[in-house]
Order: sequence, then structure tokens, then C-alpha cells
Amino acid sequence: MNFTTKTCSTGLFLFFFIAALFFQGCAGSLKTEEIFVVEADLNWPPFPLKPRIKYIRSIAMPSDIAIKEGKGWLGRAFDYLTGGSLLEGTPISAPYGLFFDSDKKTLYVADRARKGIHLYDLSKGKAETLEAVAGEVFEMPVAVAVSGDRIYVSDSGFKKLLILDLEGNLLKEIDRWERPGGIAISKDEKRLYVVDVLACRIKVFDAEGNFLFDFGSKGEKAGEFNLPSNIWVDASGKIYVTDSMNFRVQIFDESGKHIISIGKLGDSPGYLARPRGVAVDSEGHIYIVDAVFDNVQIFNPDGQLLLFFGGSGRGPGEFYLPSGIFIDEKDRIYISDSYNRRIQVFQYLKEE
Amino acid sequence: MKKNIYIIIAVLFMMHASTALAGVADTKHNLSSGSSFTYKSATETEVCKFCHTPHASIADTPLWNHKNDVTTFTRFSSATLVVDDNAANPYGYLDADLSGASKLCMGCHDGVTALGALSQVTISDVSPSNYLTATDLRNKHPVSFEYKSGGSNLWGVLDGGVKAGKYGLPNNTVNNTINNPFVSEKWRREGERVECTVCHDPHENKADAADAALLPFWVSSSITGYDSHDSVCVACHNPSFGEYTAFGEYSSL
Repeated sequence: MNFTTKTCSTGLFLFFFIAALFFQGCAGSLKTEEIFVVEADLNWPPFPLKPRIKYIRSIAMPSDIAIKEGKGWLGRAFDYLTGGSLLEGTPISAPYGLFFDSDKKTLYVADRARKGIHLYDLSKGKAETLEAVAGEVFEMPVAVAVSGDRIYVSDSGFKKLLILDLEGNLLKEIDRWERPGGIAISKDEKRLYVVDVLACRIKVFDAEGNFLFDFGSKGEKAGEFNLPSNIWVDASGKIYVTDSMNFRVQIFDESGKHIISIGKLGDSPGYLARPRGVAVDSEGHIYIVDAVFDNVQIFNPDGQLLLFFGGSGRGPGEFYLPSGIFIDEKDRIYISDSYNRRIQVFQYLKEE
Repeated sequence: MKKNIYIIIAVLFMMHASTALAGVADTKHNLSSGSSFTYKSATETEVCKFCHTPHASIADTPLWNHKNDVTTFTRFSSATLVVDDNAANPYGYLDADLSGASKLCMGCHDGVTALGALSQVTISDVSPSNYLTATDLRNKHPVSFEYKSGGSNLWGVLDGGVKAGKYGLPNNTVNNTINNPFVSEKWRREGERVECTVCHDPHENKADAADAALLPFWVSSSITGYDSHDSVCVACHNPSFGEYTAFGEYSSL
């Protein structure tokens, strides 16, 4: 009798003890500075020049973002038994378009080889991979963007633009594309811009996916495209389109009126060979990813070359057929390093 | 005399170049305005520039890094249209990765500018006991791996991290003349590596012929019948090589 009681009370004590550990673990989520701990000391331009771009870290698989500190082994064991922090996401395989939601601290990555959208929640250390919508698997998801409680995905294989809720349920499906490519959302989140690669047009929608207007046609003159691929909208509403086979980036005002074109075909700094992702930081610098040069070139709004960083290779700060780029409001630069199967994160350093 | 030789070489080179141009001009890789295919430029008349980046003679100086002395990014992009710019070490740091012509292919075939995907293969070192690894070998053939003269002829393969058996490859001294990639000029030019171009010729698309039953840009010598596809496969995966079969597992060499 005595023996049973003792066992019971010990059991009860252990239960509360473990429960306390578990909830302690749950309550903690990483702060931004903990997520972006610098993994290697790399700067461009290199010392002794004043650094403008700093390498932060790379993310390749769910274990890269797992929260390693802050929980005892008992808490982790409890999590394991209850499924508390099991990583359900898959490693990144062939990333292209990507988006970082600063509020939720979640990185969204369109992965052509995994045929899915990765959701890497960096603050909670949890990853999920969305592989099917309404029972249909993705064919070639190439771009993703998030606004409020909506996820926008373009699938170049299915020729569809999908609007999903945050759980991955289908809200709306937009077809009639020749081949949908890059997606961008205006900062006021009222406009959605999507590239139709083969039609050489930029289509503009409201946040619900209602068509507003479109612009562009096939050609080489200003405002004309030859296989446009990626797109960005800056804080002032200006639209940046990678005009891939005209080897340039074109810039438009929010009505689609051409302002300036940057870059031309060549193999030297300041030229472009296979331009892909384009993005703009908080000071208006234009970042253009190039898959042949395996680097990122930074231009000022007049199209003058400021700096380039990267180069071919597998190490930190090196690229291997890079593709998409995203810059968040803190000027952190996320780049899909496609054939290195990872996302690399950099920081633009403002002048003080 | 010496001068004559240079002229002959120059003429031969031009003949080669024009042959390649005549070929590619009739394929959908011709993205110039003169192409007879659907997707093409509206006004650009040059054919080569869409794949082979011409040299830019005046380099911009980066305003934030005046000390940078890099003047060109010379990856398969010189004015002479040579894919490999360093004969001694054509792949350098990317030795065990997608490289050379394959990298040039995937520069456009990225799912957006052009469709297409491949099974990415990595090899840590080249020897018979090493394993190729790939995320999925079920529907994509691996590319960009080394197959050197006198090198290995039995590859272990990991599919999704699991041993998927060993792939027998022919000893490259076997006299197999039907499209044998291991005696072909292309294979040697690729640094004795199996690249996209061992099976596909980006400059010629026999699949466009009216009665062809071929994969796009397939290298085979005939466009119908057995030779159309299988001849290219059995150049490497051939039961007649005795101990080396297409996909069988062998306990020893």
C-alpha cells in the first residue's frame, strides 16, 4: 500500500516537473538577433575597405534552424515523445523564389526539386513543407510571396497562380498564363505583380487576386521584354523586372511607365549574362543575381555599379547557379543558392 | 608557310563555327528573330549570344571597391565561345559538381526562363568504391560526373540516401562504336565527364524532323527505330559488356 502511494506521488511529481519543462520550452522563441547569428566573418568589399555587405548564415535543412539552446534534455525528450518540436519539413533542394515574413520570422522558399513550398519558422525552430494544395501536388513551384494571411505561389509547370491561406488551403486559383514566373507585393500590400514569362507581360492584381491591369510586350525597346523572369517592388512603389533574354533589368513606375534600364550583355563587372532575381534595399540600391557569374551585383538607381559579391563555389558567400533574392525591411538579403541547395543570408551595412 | 597554316586553321575554325550555327539556327535554341519557332526575340538577329556571353571590353569599376582588379567573369563566356576556359583544370572548384556545358544548360533551364530539371549528383571522390548520391534517380539521369580513361567502371548509387545498387559502366577501352560517348570528342572536351552534352546536342535537334520519335536534342545518329534512343543508352549500359550490365548489382569487379 505504502509502496503504491509512493510510486503514485513520484509519478505525479515527475509529470508536473516534465510539464513545467515543456511549457518553459514552448514559451521561449528566439529573438531576431539569435536567429541571425553570424556564422563566418566575410565582408565585401574586404578589409581594409569599409564593409558594405556582411555574410550572416546559410539555411539548408530543418536542423539548421532547430533551436538548440534553452531546453534541457528532459524537455527535449518530452518534446520527442509528444511530438512537440519534431521537424516535419524537408531539406531545401532546388530553391528559386523566396520570401521572408518579418512579423512571423518565417522564411518561405519555392523548391522546384522538392516540388513544394518550405515554411521555415526561424523563431520557433520549426519547419514545414507544403507539397500539395487541395489534393493536387505542385509541379514546378518557382515563386512565393506572403501578404497578411495569404500565400501566393506561381507554378510554372501547372501554369497557375495559387492563393492559399497560411495552412496551405486553396483560396483562389488564377489560370490563363503562358508561364507564370516571379511574384512581388507592394509594400502597402494592395497590389500583386506577377510575371508572365512567355507572354512578356506583367500582370497586376489586388490582394484578393482580382485583375487590375497589365503592361509590357515582346521586344527590345524600353518597356518591352524578352522572357522576363523575376520582379520586385520597392518601398516607393517602383517596379523592377529582370528582362532575362534582353540581359537587363527594367524599372517602371507604379503605373507601368518605363523609367530606366540597367545592364547589358557581357562578361565584365557591371554587365549581365544570366540575370535572375532582383531586389532593392532600404536605400534604393539594386541587387541583381547572375547565374553565370555566380554573384550579386549592386547598382545605384542610375545604373552605376557599386559593388559585387559572391563568386563560384560551395563555401560561405559563394554561389552555384543562384536564382531568387529577397531583401527584408532590416536590409537582410536572402539568396536562393540553387545548386548548393541552400539559402544564404547577408546584411547590407548602412553608412552611419 | 607558317602563315598558310594559320589561314587554314582559321578557315577550318570558321567552317566549324558556321556548321554549328547552321545547325542551331534550325532549332528552338535559336532565340533570334530569324527563328521559325514560337519563342524568339522580336528584333535581335544574333543567334549565339543567348548562350555564349560575348566579351565586354570596357569593364565598369565598382564604385565601392576601387581596389578590385577582377575585370572579367570568365565562366564559359569568352568571345571565342569556348565552354571551358581553363584546359588544365576546366572545372576547378566545381570539379565534383554540375559543371562545364551542363552548367551552361541549367543557366537557362531553371524552371522559369526555360523549363527543365535534372537529378543533381554529387561525388565526393572518384574511385570504384565511391557512391554517387542523388535525390531521385528514378526519372532523371545524373549528369556532371567524371568518367576518366582507366578510371572506375562500377558506380555505387545512393538514391535518397539509400543504397540503390551498383551501376555497371563499360570499360572505356571497350570498342563500342555506336555512339560511344567514351570515345567521342564531346566527352573528351568535357574533361572526360558525363555532361548534358554527351546525350544532348544543343546545336542540333533531330527531334524536329517530321517522322522523328526522339527526345529533344538527342544525339543519336538515326531518328527512328532502335538506334533512335537505345543506342545512346547502351553505349554505357550494355549487357554485352559481359560483367557490366545496365543496372545490375555486382559483388565484385
